[in-house]
Amino acid sequence: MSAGLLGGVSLLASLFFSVLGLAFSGLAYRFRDTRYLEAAKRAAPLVFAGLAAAFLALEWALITHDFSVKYVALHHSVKDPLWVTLVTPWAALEGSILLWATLQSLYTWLVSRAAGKQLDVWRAPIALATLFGIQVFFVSVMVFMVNPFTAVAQPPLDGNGPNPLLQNHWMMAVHPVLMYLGFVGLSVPFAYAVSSMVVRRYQSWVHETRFWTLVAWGFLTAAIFAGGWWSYEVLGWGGYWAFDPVENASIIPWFLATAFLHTVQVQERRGLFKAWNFSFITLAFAATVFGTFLTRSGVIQSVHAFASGPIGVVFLGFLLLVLIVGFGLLSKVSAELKDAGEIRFNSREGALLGGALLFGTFAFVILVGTLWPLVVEAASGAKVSVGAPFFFQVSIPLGVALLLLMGAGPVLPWRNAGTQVRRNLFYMGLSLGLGTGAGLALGLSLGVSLALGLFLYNLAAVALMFSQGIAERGTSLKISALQAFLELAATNKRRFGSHVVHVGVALAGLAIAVSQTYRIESEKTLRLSEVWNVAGLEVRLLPLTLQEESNRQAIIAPLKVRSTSRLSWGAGGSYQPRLNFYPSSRTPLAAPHVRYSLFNDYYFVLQEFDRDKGAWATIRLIVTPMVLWLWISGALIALGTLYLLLPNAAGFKKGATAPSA
Amino acid sequence: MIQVTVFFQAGFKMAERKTTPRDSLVSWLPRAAAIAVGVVALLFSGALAQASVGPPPDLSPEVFQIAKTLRCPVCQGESAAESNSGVATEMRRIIAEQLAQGKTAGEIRQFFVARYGDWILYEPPKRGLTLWVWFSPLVGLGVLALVLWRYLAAARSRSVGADNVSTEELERAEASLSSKTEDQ
Repeated sequence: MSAGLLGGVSLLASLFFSVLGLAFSGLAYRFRDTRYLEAAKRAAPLVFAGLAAAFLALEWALITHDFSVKYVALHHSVKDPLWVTLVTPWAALEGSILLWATLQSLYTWLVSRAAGKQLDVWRAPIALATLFGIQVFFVSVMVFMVNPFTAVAQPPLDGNGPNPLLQNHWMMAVHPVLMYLGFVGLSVPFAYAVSSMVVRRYQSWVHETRFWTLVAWGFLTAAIFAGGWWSYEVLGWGGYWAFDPVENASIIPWFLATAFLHTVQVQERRGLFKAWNFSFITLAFAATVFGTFLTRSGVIQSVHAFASGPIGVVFLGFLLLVLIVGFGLLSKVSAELKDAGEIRFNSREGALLGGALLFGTFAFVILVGTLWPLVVEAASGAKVSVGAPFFFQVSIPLGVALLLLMGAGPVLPWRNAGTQVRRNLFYMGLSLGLGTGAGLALGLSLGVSLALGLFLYNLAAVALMFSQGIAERGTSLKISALQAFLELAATNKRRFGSHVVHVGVALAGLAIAVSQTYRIESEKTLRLSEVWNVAGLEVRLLPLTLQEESNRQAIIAPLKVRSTSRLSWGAGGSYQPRLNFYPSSRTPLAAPHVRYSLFNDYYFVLQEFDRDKGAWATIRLIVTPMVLWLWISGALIALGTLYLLLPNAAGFKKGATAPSA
Repeated sequence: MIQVTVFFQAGFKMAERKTTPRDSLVSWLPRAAAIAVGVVALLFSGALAQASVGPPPDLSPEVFQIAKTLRCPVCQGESAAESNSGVATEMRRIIAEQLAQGKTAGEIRQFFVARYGDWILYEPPKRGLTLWVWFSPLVGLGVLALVLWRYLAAARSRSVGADNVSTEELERAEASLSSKTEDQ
C-alpha cells in the first residue's frame, strides 16, 4: 500500500468517524440517551487515529521521497536534510491543515474523556457536537478541496524542496506547531460555552475550562515569542515584530483570549459578567479562524484577489458560522443572563474589567488597522498602508494603561478596596515616580523612562504582596521566611503563577520600549582588511569563503571585531554572517550572526559581496539593547503558565482530574 | 549608478502615467503592469550595476530611520529598510543620496509619496479616510466603555435587595464542600 493511498483512506475514515461522532452527539442530545453519548465518545479516538495515520503517511511519503504524491513533488527534495523533511508537512497549505485537524482531533479526544464525568451528561453531547462539527469542517476541506494526498500522473525524479525561508532555521520545527496548538486549543472553551448556553447552565463552564484556556493561551504566547525570535534570527532585519498582517492575525486572538482569562475570574468569584465571557470566547475562537482566513486567502497581501481562492471562501463561511452560533445562542439566552451585583472601580474585579476593556480595545485597533486599507480602497479606490509606525504609536498609551492596571489589580482586594491597600499603592506609585525620574535624569527618553518606572512599579507590587504574605504566615505559624515563601508558592499556585507571568509581562514591556527606542543600524561596504569604526567596534573583513552543504551553498564573510569602548565590552571576536543560496530560489537568504548579551545585541548581516573577485562585502550592523531580556521574559511567562497548570493541592483535585487524566 | 537611477525613474514615470485610480475596479491592472515593468527593468539594471559599477553605498542610521517608514513596493509587508529586493536597495540608495544633498526626512518622504502616492507611507496620513484609523483606539475604547457602563448600571440596579448567589453556584459550593470532606 502506498503512502498516498494510506493517507487518502485515513482521511476518509476520519471524515466518516467525525460525521458519526457529530450524529451520535446530536442523537444523545435529542433523546437524552447516554448510550449515544458513549458511542460519540468512542468516535473521538478513532478520528484522532485516522488523522494521526494520515499525518504519519505524509511523513512516510516525504521520508521515502514518494514524488507520486503531489505535495511531496511540490515541497520536498531528496537533498533536504532529515529535520527539514520531517517538518515539511506544515511548510505548505495542505499539510498545515492536516496538522491543524490532527491537533484538533487530539483536543476533541481529550475532552471526550471528561464527558459524563466532569463535563456532565447534559452538556457533553453539545460540547462534543461542537468539536466534531469543527472536525468535520477541517477534514472536509482536506478531502474535497486541498487534499494533501492528491497524486501526480508523472512523478518527477526530484522536487524543489520547501520554501528556503522555512528551511533556514530549526524554529520551523517549533513555532508553527505551538501556534496551531494555541489556535486549536481555543475551540475547547468555545465548545464548553456553546454547550452551557444550549443547556442553560451558565456558571460551571468557567471553572471547568480554566485549564483548557490556559493551555491554549500558554501555547499561543509561547508561539508568539518563538515567532519573534525566529524572525530575529532568520530574516536579517534585526527585528522581532513588525505588525504585518500575519503577525496581527496571531495577536488578535491572543488579546481576546487574554481578556477572557481575566474576565472569567470575575464570573468565577462573583458570578457576574456571564454574557461578556460568552462573547469574549466566541470572539477569540472566531479570531483564530479569521486569522487563517486572512493569511490563507490572499486578501491582505494582494488586495484584489479577494476570496478568489476556494479556501478563502470556505473559511469566511466557517467564520460566519462560528459567530452566528456563538452570538445567536447568546441573544437567545440573554434574558436569563441578567447579572445582579455591584462592581466598584477600586476593587480586584474593577481592575480586571478595566484590563478586559483595554485588551478588547487593543484587539479592535489591530483588527481595524489591518483591514483599513481594504476599507479605504473599497470606499475611494485609493491605496493606503497602515503599518508598524502606526501600530507602535497607538500601542504606547494602551500598553501604559495595561501595565498600570496589571500592577494595581492583584493588590486590590475583591469587592471593595479598604484603607489597608493605600500603603501598597503609595509604595508602588513611589517606585513608578522614582523609576521614571531616574530614567529622565539619566537622559533616557520619556517613553523608556516611563517603561522603567512601570517595570519597577510592577516589581514593587509583587514584592509587597509576597513580603506581606510571608510575614503573616511566618508570624502565625512561627516558621522561617524561606519556608513561608515556599509554602505560599506551593499552596497557592494560581496566585504565584500569575505573579510570575505578570513580572514576565512587565519585563517584556521594558525590553520592548528600550529595544525599539535605542536600536541603531548602519551599513558599509568593506574592502578586504579595511577597518570600520562603528558603535564602539573596530570591524575588519577577512577573505570571503564558500561553503558547500547538501541542500545549499553559502558565502561567508568572516569578520574580526575588536571592542574599542567600555559600552561594547564583550562584543569582540569573530563573526560569520553568511548568504545561503538555495537551488530553488534566485535570491540568496541572509543568515545573520548575532552576539547576544544582557546589554546590547550585536547583529551582523552580509548584504552583498563582490561576485567577480571577492574584493568587498557589504555588511550591515544592527545594535539593539535588551533584546535578550525579551526572550527571558517570554521564558518567565511560559514557566509561570506551566506553574499555573500544575494540579493544585487536595480539595480541588476532584474537579481537575478530568483534564489532567 | 546613473544607469540604474535612470531605469528606476523610468519605472516610476510609467507607473505614474498609467495610474488613474478612482475610476474603476480594473484600474489596478495597468498600474500593476507598469510597476512590474519598472521592477523588471530595475532588477535587470541592478544586475548590470552589480557587474559593472561596483558596491552599494554606505548607509548611515538616518537612512534606516527613514526607510523603515516606507513600504517596499514589491514586497509582501516589508519596509524599505528590511527588504533586500532591488527596489528596496534602490530606495535606500536614493534616501542616502538625498540626505547627502541636505534634504530633510519629510522632504525625502514627499519625494516617494509624489511617485507612489500615500500608499508608500507605513504611517497613514492624518487626513481623509485614514484619519479615522487614528481614532480607532478612542472609538474602540469609547464603545466598549459605554457597553460596560450600561451593563454595570443595570447589574447594580438589579442587585439592590437581591440574593445574588445563583442556585447553580450554591449547588457547586455545596458539592465542593462535600467532596472536600470525602477527600479527608
